[in-house]
Amino acid sequence: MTPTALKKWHWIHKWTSLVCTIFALLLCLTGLPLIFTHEIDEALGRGFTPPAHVDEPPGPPRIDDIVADARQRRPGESVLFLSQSDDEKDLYYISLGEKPDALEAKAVYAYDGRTAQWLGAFPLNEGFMSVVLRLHVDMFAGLPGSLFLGGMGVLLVLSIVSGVVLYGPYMRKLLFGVIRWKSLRLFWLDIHNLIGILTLGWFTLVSVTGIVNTLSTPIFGQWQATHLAEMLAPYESGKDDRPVVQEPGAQRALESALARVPSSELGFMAFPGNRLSGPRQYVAFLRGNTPLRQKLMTPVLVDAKEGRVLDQRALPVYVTALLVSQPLHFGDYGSLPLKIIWAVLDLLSIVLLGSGVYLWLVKRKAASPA
Amino acid sequence: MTPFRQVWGMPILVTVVSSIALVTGLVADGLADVVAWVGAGVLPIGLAAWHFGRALSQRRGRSSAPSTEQDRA
Repeated sequence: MTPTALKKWHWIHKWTSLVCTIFALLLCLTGLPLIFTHEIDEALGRGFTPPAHVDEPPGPPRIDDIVADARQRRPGESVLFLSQSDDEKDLYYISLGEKPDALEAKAVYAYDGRTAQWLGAFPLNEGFMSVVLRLHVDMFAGLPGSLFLGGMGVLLVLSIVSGVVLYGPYMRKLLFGVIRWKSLRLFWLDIHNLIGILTLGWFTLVSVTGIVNTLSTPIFGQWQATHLAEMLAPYESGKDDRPVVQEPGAQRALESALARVPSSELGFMAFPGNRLSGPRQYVAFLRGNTPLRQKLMTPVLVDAKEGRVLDQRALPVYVTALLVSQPLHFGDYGSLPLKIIWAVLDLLSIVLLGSGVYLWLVKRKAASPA
Repeated sequence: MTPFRQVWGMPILVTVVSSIALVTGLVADGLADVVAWVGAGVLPIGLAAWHFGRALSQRRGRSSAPSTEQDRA
């Protein structure tokens, strides 16, 4: 590499890192407890576990009873989504909001699908983990905050790429993994190089999937404006678009959807009038039943009044990319050992970022006239 | 060893293995999860720990050894 090129890459590495480091540190620090969200909730007694045995003859989940109970608990509010836990098959969640198309849920209730028994309310916007999550996702600034963090993620990826480019010339005369004790600066430089190159695959993956996750609102918005609109177009009446509150109807709609897609299970179902459904239609997002297909979903459009399946289409590539990005970012697809690995790599990334800042400070001090 | 292999051999190996392992864990369960733990966890974290441990012991050895030993090292 020519000295000019080296200087250029140095400049890129320095500035992309400097701009994003404080946010990358925030993301690493808040990400650490978030890896163990499930375990922390369980430990704090905030997880929901349906009883092992119930005195109920086996049958289909009692969705209509669940919906009726949730409505009765919050009169005047609308059911937004019904979802099923992916590890506890009898565990269902209902979210309610002020209006059918509300962006934010006012309450999320957990139910046992076999008995329609209310298991409790999911704590929304309260507690330490909720603060940590908001800091990590949008810094309490909504969509702009999320997109801003996505931008910082792009800088982080540029910083990783430029760091890899610089690794070559730095290591030209050194053995892999060498750590020199001659000076504090050389020690931290070697640590920075070693951790940076060893965590390259993971750090890049988590950064890129994190960027994709910040785009989840625009991604679903795009799907809604194109694919969903296309699915709904033949059923538009043109006059009355008030959401149909058909009671009971959710159970039949879900059963029709499940019958349409072989070996599928419920991911979540958007109720009529929702952003992700039609005014008179449910949209059930069904998961497959293999490890990979469980992460992907098929949307099925169901008529609310008649419970008839109207349409079913594969999700476009960009939504699938988002759905695959989520587990790859959270590290929740390989049981507890993978989560512990995520945590260790996260800690190593914090050392990487910290040593980077230290190296910049030392260099700056050396460059400035005494 | 060529200079390229000396500098890039390990980085390419670790990055390729850990990336493949991370994706393997996603597409299947059971053994695939073990592949993810080993390839994406044990390999990079183990290498970091091993090199750090080696550097630590070299430093200790050097500070306790007589000066002639130090020169040879």
